[in-house]
Amino acid sequence: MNALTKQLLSTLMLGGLVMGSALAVVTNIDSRRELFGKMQTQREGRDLVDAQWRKLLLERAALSSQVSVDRVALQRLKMKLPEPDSTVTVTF
Amino acid sequence: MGRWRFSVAQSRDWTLRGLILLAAFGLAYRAFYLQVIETPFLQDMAANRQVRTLDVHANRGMIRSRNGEPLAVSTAVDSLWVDPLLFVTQRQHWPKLARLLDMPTSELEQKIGSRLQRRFVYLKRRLTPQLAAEADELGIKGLYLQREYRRYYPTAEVSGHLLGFTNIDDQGQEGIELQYNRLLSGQAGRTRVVQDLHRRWVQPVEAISTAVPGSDLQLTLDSRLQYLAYQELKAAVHQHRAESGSAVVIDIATGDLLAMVNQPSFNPNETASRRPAHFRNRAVTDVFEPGSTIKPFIVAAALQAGTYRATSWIDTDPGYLVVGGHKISDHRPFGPLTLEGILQKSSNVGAVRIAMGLDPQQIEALLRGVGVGRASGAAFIGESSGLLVPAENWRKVDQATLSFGYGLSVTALQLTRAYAILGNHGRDLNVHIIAAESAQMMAQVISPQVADQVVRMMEAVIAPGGTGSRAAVSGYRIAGKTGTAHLFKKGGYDKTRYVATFAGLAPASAPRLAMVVTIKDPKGEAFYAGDVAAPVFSRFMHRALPLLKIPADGEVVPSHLIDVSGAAA
Repeated sequence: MNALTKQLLSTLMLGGLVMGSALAVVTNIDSRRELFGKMQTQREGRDLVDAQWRKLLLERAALSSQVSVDRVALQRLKMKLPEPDSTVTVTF
Repeated sequence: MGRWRFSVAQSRDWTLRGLILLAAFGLAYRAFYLQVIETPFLQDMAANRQVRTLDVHANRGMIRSRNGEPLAVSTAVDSLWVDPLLFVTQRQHWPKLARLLDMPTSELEQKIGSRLQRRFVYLKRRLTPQLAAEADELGIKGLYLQREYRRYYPTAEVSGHLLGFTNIDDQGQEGIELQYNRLLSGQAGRTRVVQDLHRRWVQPVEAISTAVPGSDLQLTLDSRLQYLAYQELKAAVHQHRAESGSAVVIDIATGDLLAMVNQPSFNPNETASRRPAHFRNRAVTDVFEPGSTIKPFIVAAALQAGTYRATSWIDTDPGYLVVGGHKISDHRPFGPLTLEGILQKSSNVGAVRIAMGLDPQQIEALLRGVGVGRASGAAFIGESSGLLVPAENWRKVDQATLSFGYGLSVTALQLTRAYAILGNHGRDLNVHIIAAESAQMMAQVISPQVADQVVRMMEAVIAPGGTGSRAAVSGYRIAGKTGTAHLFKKGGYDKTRYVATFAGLAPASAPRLAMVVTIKDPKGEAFYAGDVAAPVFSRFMHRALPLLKIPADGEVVPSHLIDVSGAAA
């Protein structure tokens, strides 16, 4: 092993490392894009579920609103709210 | 051996050279191919896609009531639009699309037919994302989606004034929506994407910044009480054909604003039918002269100053008196009255006698203490702070008319706070609408004993013979005061138009709720506050008190049995 061979070997080794890191960068970028795409798909899914949840929330709010409960009680179930005059509060 | 070795080395040498040459040719060919043969195709591709940065929408936060019910919710909706030039070539798909959108094919024809020259026509706006996605999947050329956001208010006109509304870009325009716009909006993000010519999203490349959704906002509002108050106020305003009305309810222990309603109202969900004149949250923007509802504070000032005691008698004969050349009179002569009697009969003469025995500064200090002329602190958009002229500028007659509520102005919210302070044993309160704001230790503005005595005296107003007897609630003791004031018009007071106000506390033995009902310009037979505003209080409390599980504390006590000498029970 003379000095020349040593130099050649170290150059080759460094070259190999450069190649390796270049490949790593490429795969990294590629996988980042792929993961970002996946994340975006997940987000879309989340947004869709979120939109659905909000819709259901509004639906529930509309159905359980005082107005609609009043309407169902008074019209469909023919219930009556006792007037203050016809109410007696018993105090213990 | 030497020859053999030489020939191996040489052949390796040549092989290597050959390979390098081949690779060089390969590269040269590829370059030629891309540059010359493939050019039109590649240029086309490049033109079709481009890297763009897009805003990522940040969801606007929800507004919730104290019990968590949604009061304002933004949801994504999709609008379908078409490029008529492309879309007319897709006629074979039209029936499918029409069926999905639940519109006759002829309507499609109609929409497109007259607009062939344009490149953008809305087909149907604000579809649910699911339905829009189905339409998109039909794969019709020239049919595109556009995402929009819409805000819904499940309580509609019941809380319209308080919440306000947003514009088409989801930005607050009025009320809480405007006031807390920054908190609710969040921060839009940015993403770099590769897009095609039609700006249809192709592929996201990277996020520049992520979207931060807006925060939810929880209010102290109780939607049940809000609805009750709305219902009763609306009924009364209609019944008496009044111009407008407001009602405010405050939780005395915490300063929470439980309900705030106005008439006329508007539905924040319907952009088309909105009338700007109806947007105003009158309970905080409109001031009125409180009339006799100010008298309890004059009585409190006298008790505080020691000029009168709870058991003092005041002669109101002959039913009128003259101050600074102005005659002030009662409906009829009441004779000698106690302080409590002055409140019960709402005697102007009695109130003036009490006020004239006090220093102007003593009256001003008390009124300012309970918040007259001072904004509520809840920081409402457009809130008025009312008006109270400094005492050094009062003439004798000003001091006299002030004692029955003329010459100063308040908002419904301010008057509610003032009564809540009486109910809170004279301690100021931090009125707020945002649930996160906690109750703070506030200053004592009236001595506890005086405040409690005044509350006991105000029970006489509700007792038979009092002006506010129609505010009575079965099973509960109520303290309150009526006030009927002439409306001001150019050049003086209008003799035929009134603002009727009732301010009350319930239950009187240990006040939990303070409520003010004010109705402007009732045009029916009845115009006295006791007939117009007091029943709203009664009907509201009749349902609200049991709803809040506030135990019954007894029936109305006849006025001669009310003991005002001590503190409240």
